[in-house]
Amino acid sequence: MFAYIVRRLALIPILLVGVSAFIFGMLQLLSPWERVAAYVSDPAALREGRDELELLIKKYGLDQPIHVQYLEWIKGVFQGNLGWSEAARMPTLQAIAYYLPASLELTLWAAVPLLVIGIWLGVMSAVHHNRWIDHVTRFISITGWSFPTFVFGLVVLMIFYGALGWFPPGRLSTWASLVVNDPGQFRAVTGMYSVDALLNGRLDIWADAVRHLVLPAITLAYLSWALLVRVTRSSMLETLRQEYVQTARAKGLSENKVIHRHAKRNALIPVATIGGMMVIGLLNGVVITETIFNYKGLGYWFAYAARQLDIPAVLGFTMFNGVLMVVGNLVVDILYAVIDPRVRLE
Amino acid sequence: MGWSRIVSVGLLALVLGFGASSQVKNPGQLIVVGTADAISLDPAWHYDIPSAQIIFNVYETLVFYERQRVDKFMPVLAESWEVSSDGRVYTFTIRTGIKFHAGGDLTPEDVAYSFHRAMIQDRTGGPGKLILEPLLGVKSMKALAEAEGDVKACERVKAAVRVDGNKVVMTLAGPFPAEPFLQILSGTWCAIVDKEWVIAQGGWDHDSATWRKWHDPKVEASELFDKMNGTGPFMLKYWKKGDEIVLERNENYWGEKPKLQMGVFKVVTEWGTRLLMLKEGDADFIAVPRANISAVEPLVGAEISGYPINKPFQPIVRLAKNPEGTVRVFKDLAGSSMDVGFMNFELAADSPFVPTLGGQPKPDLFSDLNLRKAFSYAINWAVYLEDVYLGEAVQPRGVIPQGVLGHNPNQPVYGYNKAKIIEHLKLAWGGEVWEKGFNLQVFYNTGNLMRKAACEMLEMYIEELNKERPGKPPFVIDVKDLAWATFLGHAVAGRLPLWFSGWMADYIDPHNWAHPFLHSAGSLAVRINITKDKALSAQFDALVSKGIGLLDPKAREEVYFQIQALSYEYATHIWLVHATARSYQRMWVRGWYHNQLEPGANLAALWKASLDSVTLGARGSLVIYGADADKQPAKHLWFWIENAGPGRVKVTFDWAGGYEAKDLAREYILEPGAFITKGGPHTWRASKVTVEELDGKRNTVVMYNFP
Repeated sequence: MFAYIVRRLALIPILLVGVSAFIFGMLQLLSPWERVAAYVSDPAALREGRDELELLIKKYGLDQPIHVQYLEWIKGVFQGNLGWSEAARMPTLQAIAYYLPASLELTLWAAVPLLVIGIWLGVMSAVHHNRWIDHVTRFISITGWSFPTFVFGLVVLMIFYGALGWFPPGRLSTWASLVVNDPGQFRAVTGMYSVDALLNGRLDIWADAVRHLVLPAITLAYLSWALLVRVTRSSMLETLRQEYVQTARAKGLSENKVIHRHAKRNALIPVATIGGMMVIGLLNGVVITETIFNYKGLGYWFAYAARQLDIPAVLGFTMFNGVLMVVGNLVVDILYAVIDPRVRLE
Repeated sequence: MGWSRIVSVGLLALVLGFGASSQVKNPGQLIVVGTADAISLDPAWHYDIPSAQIIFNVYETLVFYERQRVDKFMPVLAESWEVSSDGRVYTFTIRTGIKFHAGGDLTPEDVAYSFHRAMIQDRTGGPGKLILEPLLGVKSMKALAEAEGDVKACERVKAAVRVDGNKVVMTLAGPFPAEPFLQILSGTWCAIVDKEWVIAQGGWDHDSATWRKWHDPKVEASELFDKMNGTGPFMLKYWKKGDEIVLERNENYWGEKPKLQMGVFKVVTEWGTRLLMLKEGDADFIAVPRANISAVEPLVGAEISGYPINKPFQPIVRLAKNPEGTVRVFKDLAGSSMDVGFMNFELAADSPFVPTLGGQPKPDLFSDLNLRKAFSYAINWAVYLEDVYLGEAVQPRGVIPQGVLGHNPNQPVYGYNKAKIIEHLKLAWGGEVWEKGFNLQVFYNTGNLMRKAACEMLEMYIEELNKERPGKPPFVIDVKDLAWATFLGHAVAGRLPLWFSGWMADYIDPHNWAHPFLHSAGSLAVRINITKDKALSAQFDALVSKGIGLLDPKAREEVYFQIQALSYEYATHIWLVHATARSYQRMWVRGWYHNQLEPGANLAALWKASLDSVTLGARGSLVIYGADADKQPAKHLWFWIENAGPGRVKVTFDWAGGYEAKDLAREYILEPGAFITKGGPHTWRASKVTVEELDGKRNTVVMYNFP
């Protein structure tokens, strides 16, 4: 297994070079005139005539041949320099570190309802096959699957913030933000406010952070439930038809034990794979959710950066995702081997 | 996100129907929610509104505007100033006893250093040129250094702004009118920094031999990129990049202490979220794109217009449809930008968009006067302004917009005229245009629906003439959009044949309009290759130079009248629209005013207080406040008292101790729905207003006032 892990990890640099070269190539389809836009957020700054634009293009080396620009960039990457993100107003690497805790926090908060409720609904649906609970669950998961994120997000925001005023957008209320950003009052440890608040013994901040997490977490989870529920349901249905389950029943075990001790454990093997990938996918899929809820995480930054043609940010975020996917896949594979002793990693 | 917009508008309309509270939320904080974050907090580097609105609350300049006046200046860090008789030497006496936020004392050396630093930094695309032009007569530090060598160039910079005892003396390179110069000095790029502190942050050591190292830095390389140390009423608490900037009150401020404790500037890019924040009171000001105006309407309780340029504010209040509305909107606010149709006299050789005349490439198609005139007659302004700008815009009468010296209200303008279009098309290119037809692409930047509408109007009015000339090759106009940066890139390189674009003034002076558009070296004039018509271009050059060289406003006005008449005669541009702006704000915001050259909310002038209203049992009272609840006299005030019904009420004013409005009676009987309003530049003190119901019905009376 160790050799397998090393082999998989060794793939990362190759993958990153491939991904970055591809994205870099795509971005070169834009002319220097278009790419210079990333450095000029105010059109007024550009009106002094053609000289200024050309100076900017030269200043940022946008007129160099593609391979020169790429080598220049990759050289920086090896020195730990992913370039300056105009959208974040800081170096790209620093921006990833800056925005990651927020997205991680949101993902973790979304993963809990996703996994717990999703699996529970899937199991219930299978156990009560073709009964009302099955129909309702399927209805809920199918609507979740077919709802575009921005529609669902806006609807819940309008109801629970616009009409009821319960769950505001953003990450913290202004008063809490003032506390959290005052080093004298609050020590940032993880960057995840719901965790740091507890470490600082500030329950008021914790409650405020959670209040802001409810809607985006539910939005993220709801839209992913469908797949998880369906996989759990069909896997569970199949397991319940297995002979060993019937044997367990014949032994006179209670239905509860049959389902939760015997059937569920085996049914969850494929679910673990899917669930693991979904949690990683959540971190990827926060772009729209974070934008709607004004939740300043990786997704928000990426959406903003992409609109501004902030190339270092786009490259940095994509590479980060590449690493995340490779490592995430690896973890899931290992997990799979741990859950199911029949699987051997070679 | 087209769907997103449709869904959000529809659903928001539903949600906004729910009532909203008018209790003041976050009373000591003003929360401004916009769409873009600051780029740099360095006064010398920044050149964008989001950065400027932070800088002007934290730093101070030598002089600044008197509230909404862009033509009247008050001393700030300068105690007073004198101008020599030839208008070339400005001597500022610097205030003493002022401290920077970090504790340093303000000295004349700090003032001079701030100007020197701004000039030597002069980053590409930055504001340095605004200072370099009047003081040294050059467009860039680079150009100066190329001409004179590094050390000498820096010595010239230092000589232009020098310390003389407790005074700072500025010597202009040539004649430059006082008003635009003081406007430049009021700009955030002229903010005064603490010399010792800047050097301690790694800034320029003020040595004439070393300045290159600090010249044209990348944004993050400037030492003041995310640090601030000014003398202003607010101090930087923190900048959470991409998210929010928080300013807190400077408790040791040398001037009048601000009423707000904090200013919070948030970035929220999603429109629906911004709107909900305004409704919930989590935002006091939000940015509202014109396309989304209808979505805010349900929240609006009062519409206020009548904000003139450079005159006292005499508001006209119109109650909106929703009397419970918690938002007020100021309409028809003077803007400092204009949209214009550019007709390229001769396209750049590398243009991929060359028009054809009778099938043959014709890069100089618009060098023909008759063709330009025909196109100028093909915009129907009455329809355009009403449909596209909802009537909140005017047709410019030439290059100088309303409110600026040199604007000529009697200057003739073009307007839709089919007969004239035909007449000039028949004359264009000796009749070739009418006989052989043409093929032309006209451009706007993607997403700008106003400019798109103008392009489509040209297309419609010109192409419909094909019916009048059957059998001839058609006139073909192809409306095209380009992404902003591409659009700009092609436009500045002179590659577009006809396009609609805008210009925003840095200072309100005719020179800032006439030069870029019409002088052969003007940044916009080069884009249409105006020198193709050498004689015309020479006339403009002479007039523009004459205009900036004169100091007498009357004489200058005459020159700008001539410039505009010439531009009309030669149909140089399609002067499309001078739009006005709106400001949406919660009603509890007090003290707001509009100055088109100020970059945003002036925190020192603002505070928050709830609407004063009474539900009458039989009798109640309201208070017209002065500048604040502490009963300080206010210099500007207006109020509005409205009887929301259902019965009649009697309103009695008690002016004890305060200004008595001579043209107001002491008692009024207000029918349901009627209101009394009064405003102006008076000294007011808090005054009690007693309200009594007359019809035995439970009445609601709302009063709304602010200085």
